[in-house]
Amino acid sequence: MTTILRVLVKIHDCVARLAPASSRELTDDARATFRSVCRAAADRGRLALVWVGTREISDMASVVVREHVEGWRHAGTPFDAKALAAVSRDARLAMRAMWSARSASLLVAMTLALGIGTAAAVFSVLDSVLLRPVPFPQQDRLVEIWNFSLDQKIAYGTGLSSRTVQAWRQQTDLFDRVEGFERQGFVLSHPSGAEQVTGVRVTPGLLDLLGASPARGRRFLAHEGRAGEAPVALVSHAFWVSHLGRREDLADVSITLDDTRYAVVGVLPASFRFPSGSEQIWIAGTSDQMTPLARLAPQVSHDRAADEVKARGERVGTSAGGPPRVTAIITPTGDSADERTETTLVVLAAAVAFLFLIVCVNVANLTLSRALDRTRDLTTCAALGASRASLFRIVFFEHGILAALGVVAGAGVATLVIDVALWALPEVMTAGTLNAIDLDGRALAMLVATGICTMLVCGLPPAWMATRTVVTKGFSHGGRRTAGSRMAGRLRTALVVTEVALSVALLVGAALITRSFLALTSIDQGYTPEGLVSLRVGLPASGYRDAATASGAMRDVVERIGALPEVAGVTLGELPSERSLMAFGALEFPGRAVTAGPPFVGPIHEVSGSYFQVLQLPIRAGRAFVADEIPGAAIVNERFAAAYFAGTDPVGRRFRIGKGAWRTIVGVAGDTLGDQERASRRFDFYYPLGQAADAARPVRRSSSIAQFHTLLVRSDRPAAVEPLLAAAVHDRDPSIVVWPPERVERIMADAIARPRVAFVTIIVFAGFGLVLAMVGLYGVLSHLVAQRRHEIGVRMALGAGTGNIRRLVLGHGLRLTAVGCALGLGTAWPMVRLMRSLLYDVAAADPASLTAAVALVSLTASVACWAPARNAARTNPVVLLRGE
Amino acid sequence: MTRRPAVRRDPRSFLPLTPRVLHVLLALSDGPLHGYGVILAVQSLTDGLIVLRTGTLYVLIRRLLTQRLIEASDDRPGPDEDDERRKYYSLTELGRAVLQAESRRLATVLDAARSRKLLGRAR
Repeated sequence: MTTILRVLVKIHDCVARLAPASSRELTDDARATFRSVCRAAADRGRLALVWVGTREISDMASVVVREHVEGWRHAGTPFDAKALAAVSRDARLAMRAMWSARSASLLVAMTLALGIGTAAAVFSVLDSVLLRPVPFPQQDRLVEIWNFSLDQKIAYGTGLSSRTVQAWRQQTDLFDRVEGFERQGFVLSHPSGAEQVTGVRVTPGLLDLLGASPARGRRFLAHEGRAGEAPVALVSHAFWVSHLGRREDLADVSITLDDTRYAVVGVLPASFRFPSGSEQIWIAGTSDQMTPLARLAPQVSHDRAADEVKARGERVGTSAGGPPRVTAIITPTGDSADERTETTLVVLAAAVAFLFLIVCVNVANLTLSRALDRTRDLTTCAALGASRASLFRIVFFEHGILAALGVVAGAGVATLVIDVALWALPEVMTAGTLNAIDLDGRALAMLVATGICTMLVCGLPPAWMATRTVVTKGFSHGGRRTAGSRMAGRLRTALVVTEVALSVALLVGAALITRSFLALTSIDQGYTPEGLVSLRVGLPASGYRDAATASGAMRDVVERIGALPEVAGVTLGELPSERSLMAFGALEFPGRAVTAGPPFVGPIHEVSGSYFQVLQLPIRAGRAFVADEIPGAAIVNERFAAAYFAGTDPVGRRFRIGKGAWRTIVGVAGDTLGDQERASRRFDFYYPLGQAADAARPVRRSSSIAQFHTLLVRSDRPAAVEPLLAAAVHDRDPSIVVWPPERVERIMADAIARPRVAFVTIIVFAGFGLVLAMVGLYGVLSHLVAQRRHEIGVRMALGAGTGNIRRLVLGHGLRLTAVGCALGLGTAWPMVRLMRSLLYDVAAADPASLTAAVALVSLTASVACWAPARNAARTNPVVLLRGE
Repeated sequence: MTRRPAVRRDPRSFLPLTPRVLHVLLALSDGPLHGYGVILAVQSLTDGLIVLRTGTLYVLIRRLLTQRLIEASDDRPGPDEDDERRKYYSLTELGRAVLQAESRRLATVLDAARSRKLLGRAR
């Protein structure tokens, strides 16, 4: 709603700014009034707002025009009064003509609106995710300082202490200002239970560095966040809406995070996104896991800063208590859209560009046929003395009005599409950007410009041709073909062929994506996700600090859940696709030389003995873990065994990763999918519960939770089991935090959200494009039949049967389709090349997809040609020839 | 905006007023209002028959300012309902006189209508 309001206010401002200078002083006031009127209308809903806003804007536009005309009159008419009268008469004529053909006009305006609306929406998503720089002051001078390990040659963004931030702050010759932040999970407890929220711990000056000021309340004060100070927090706009009920007065609002009460001192604006779009809480504080965010000093270039930071990094780090052999590098902030998001968005942009071209061609086609239909009117005008300029002006005004209608409706379509996109796009695609995703000035300017250009480029040439026909040929030819109309006919044919070609290209893309998506959904996970429920629990720090108590409690919980009716099996351990534990470093085997090269990164799964049986993940060799497992036991997957122990029995062999403990392989498990989206397989390591202390945990979680565990429960009726799980855990200890159970099948579906978005969008676009192309084809054939009625009559009089006539028209239509298909396959090629990296298990030149696209177009084309062909065959030659 | 010399014109020379002008003046007769206030007042005065659009309203306001029937008012309401961007307008003496003259004229119109029994029985 607010987006619509903002768009309307912007348009109104633009229009009001066009007023003559003499009335400018009132327009500020008028703007304020317009806002009040719109706000009042907004209370009655979206539609009322758009309706009232549009009427107000058109009123303002007409006032502005009148003021200018008055001004010119007063200034002694630099404009020829006659010319002015002629122009206004032509404008009126154009209006009337449009009104008399309102459904056709509406069709053009709506086609235009859909085309430019979707294009603008996709543009603004693309713009905010990929093109626009991060929305902070002096963004080009903001950098993050990362650790760089000189031994392992890897960079990592977290793990610097507040002291390191302080040490970098002292390098005043390089940096203006250095602040720090750390992403963190919190347990938010409220009377109805506990939930996990994402947040950031920041140094108090960070928001100031980013130029952000809260929409309500205040920023952090310099002393806040130090030990002994009262804990304070800022919350996101979304959190304020969902958890604080939009409370205006924040005076005594507090939230409990990790058992500490934080006073809420402010609400950040909805547009503020840092470090990504998903954080809900910002707290002031220090930590030993921060990422420093720095602003380069004015005279320091990026290159110099990069060199200096690398040179000083180790000294600065160790002076603040950091490890040796670790230096630092700088990296630009907010550059987080990953490659696949980028490709997905670019493919969407390509699809929307194709759709937009189809819309343009369709608009050209529609305006051409409108112009041809109006030949008789225009001929009358010409006969009564209208000059060609006047005729052209009438047509020009019509197009101007259509463009304006298209732009206004297009803005509505765009806001709607953005709303839908924000709801439908997976968080992985939108959370990365630090820009708000909405219809901003850039997108709006693009929308207006495209609307006007489309009308000028696609609307005026056909109009020009039509007026030429009128003036050169006049009345005499009646309905028969003239040289000009033959040219127009040829143009229309060309346009239809283009439309068919473009829609074939879109359909090829859609068919490829569909096949790839279907392949992705039906892929073998390596285990059976159906009937599995994942349940996350957290053991609170108060009471479970001791590892023995914790494991005892978890054993109890597993037993209680296992005893529930309908539960077939329960185990501890995360899904193979989760990666909460990692081991990295060189991979070592006894008796073999350590291979040099990039460090080996392996996901570690800490699992209990029943894990493989409950997941139905097969053990190919050796055995699963047993109750009293030997220290250092490990199960590896087939891929790892094949890569390093090809041809020998891996069971009993030993390995270690980096500086970790030596591991003995006791079994080999089947492969699972490492990355759902690419369906890639990777190495997997399974360690027994409690034996993965040497693995790294990349994300630190809530401080009030001592241990996190995931329980996987198998059941034939998961729906019946889900509601009983929390109670079973709380039966053991009500203080254990339980997250809502999740169906594993659903987690799998979410993991391929990005391909699904590409799939759904391109299908919608392709369908839309196909419909437009077929409407165009139908229009051209109907027109052709109308024009060739005379010829058809003669043919029938000379003995042609209805079948012959039908074949004649159908043949013509299908010939056009065939040419379009051939061109379309050529056009599809660049788009298909672009898409290649998104496709799974489908070749870019997949014959089945190409055939399917062509077949679908041919089939719908025959349907579109059928009605004109039937009409032609129904021609009665006697009636027709008598009419001559 | 060019101001004419301050020669007071005869109120009757403005008559008859257009319905919109009449209602705007009528709305301002209760005291100063800002633009949106005028729109709301006119809407309620006419039971929604006349809905002023912003553009039209400001053309009217400009004309009335030039004719010195209304003026920008310094008399602003209490600070909580006040908005810096907004201007308030109030009737001038001349404006009030014109409104009275028009009302009298309309009264005679009404009397004429009543005497022809167009409004049912005269009250």
